[in-house]
Amino acid sequence: MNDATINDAGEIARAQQIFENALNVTAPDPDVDIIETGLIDSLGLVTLIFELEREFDVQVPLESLEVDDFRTISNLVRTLGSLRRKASA
Amino acid sequence: MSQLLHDRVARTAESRPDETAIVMGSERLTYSELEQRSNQLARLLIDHGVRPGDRVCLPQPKAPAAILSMLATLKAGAIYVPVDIASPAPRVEKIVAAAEPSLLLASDDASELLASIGTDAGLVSVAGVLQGAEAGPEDADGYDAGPLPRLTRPSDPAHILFTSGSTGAPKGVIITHAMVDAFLDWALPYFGHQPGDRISGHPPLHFDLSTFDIYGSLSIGAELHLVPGDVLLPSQLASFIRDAELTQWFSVPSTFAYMARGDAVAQGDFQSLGRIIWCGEVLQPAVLAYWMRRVPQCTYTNLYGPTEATIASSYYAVTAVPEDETAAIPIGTPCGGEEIRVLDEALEPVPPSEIGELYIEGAGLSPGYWRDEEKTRAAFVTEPRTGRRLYRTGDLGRRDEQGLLHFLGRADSQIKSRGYRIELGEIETTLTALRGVAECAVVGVPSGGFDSTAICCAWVSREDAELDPKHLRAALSKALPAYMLPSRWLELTELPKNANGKIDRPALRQRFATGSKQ
Repeated sequence: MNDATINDAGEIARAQQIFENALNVTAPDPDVDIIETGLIDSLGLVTLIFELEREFDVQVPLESLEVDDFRTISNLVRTLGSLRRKASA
Repeated sequence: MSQLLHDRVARTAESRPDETAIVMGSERLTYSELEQRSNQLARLLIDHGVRPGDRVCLPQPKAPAAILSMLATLKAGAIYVPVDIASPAPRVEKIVAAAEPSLLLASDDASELLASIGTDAGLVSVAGVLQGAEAGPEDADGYDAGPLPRLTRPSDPAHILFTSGSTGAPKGVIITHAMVDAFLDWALPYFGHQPGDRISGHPPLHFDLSTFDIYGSLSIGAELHLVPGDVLLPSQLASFIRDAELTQWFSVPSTFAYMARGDAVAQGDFQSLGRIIWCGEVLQPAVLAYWMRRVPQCTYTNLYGPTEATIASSYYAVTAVPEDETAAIPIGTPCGGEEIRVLDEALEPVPPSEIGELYIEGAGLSPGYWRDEEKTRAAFVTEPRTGRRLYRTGDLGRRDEQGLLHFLGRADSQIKSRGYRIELGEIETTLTALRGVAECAVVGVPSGGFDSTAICCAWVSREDAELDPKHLRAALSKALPAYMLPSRWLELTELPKNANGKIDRPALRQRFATGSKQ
């Protein structure tokens, strides 16, 4: 959790908003496990990833994505942050 | 001669009693278990007052118990209504009110949802049925497991599927035993299904496509492998196909695109797989090419058809890897027992190769919408030339020189997103009813991703109202299921209008397509 973007409340709020838009559930707290709580299914994940890509202007590498990468909103934001760093490096 | 759907399953149970019928995770039901438990449950339902022609709502997630509940309902002579328990309570309430069931046969996951809706119907929990050890008031174990007398005819309704309706209320499509039977009579010999096939169960059970998975699989003596809800990633879906050694995969195109995007399919992957079938939306040629190159041993079939003619009405077998990525895959030729006409507004055939609206005729046609004469009359029409009953699909298409049908979009404001059909009017009606919304328009825009169409909403607030997408979305989500919620929002001071004073939808679509964000 040493990355500035991880602690950026704005990024978290933005991801929560997209999460709500894509999945029609009240966005959980950043550290809630969205898999275990059944908040997402595979069709929902398709929409979520697509909207995240659009909104954050990144390409999510589905081929190397792991369940932990989107297990919580915090993890999601962290995943997106590292993707953007890679893109700009 | 048409058969009852549960008779098809019973016959399989007679010839293959100890073979596996349904698998999901660690749950496994053999044909004899499926048959006997559904007989017991049918008697329990009858004991709870369910009579032939009654409706039984099934608010249950995808699971073997849900399919058992469907069969039990049919054996009791009643009509089942699958209910998506992820839908918001007001929508579920509308569906239950419209179905007017004599009983709700529910899973425990649905208890919170059901507590928040008003209904006079009785409630039975399905939980005890599969775990017969725990005797309770709903335990079916005490009931006779032998066959029941036939209480229905093939022309009777088997289930009602509620889909999005343009005026704001979901509409129920009546599906009879004979409709599904007619499709299976064509599909099973055409695809060459065999006992012991291992067939995917990917779509949710309130979705028309699942009808093929369930009754196709169970009439032939195959294993139905229901895909659990926690199989999420492209790589997990691929592992599921490998581990279950599936012989058939059937889903909406977005799943194929999602797996291709995730590059989840290796060269020579899925050795057991023989058939790949998709339906519900257009599959991008590039996605199909990806699959065909990696899994070359499969047959690839595009199915087309609305719920009103159950599962599919036309098919096209793709035999060569598509070269041209802009040439859409044809929807092909009618399935056996059905005909598709390309007609103009006067219901006269258009000249060869010209565009018209697609109309379906044949044994697969629904008797209409549940208790909605007006909608039924509007959608099911009589062809003047022949006196035949036709279903007006609202889809535009043409027949090419080879006689192949091509789908060319919608004649109205219905869209498909992730395989679900959505009436944009239903979203607009719900939005307009919100306080503070002066005007709104909802359009579908090609999303460019694997989620084929993005639902986009432009709105004008009343002067005294302060609305933002978060509030609008929250309000909409109380009435509409997740797949119907707009993912893009745009506030305007006025909506663009055309010369006739109507909302200029092409202009709005253009605006969303060129990237206006929130």
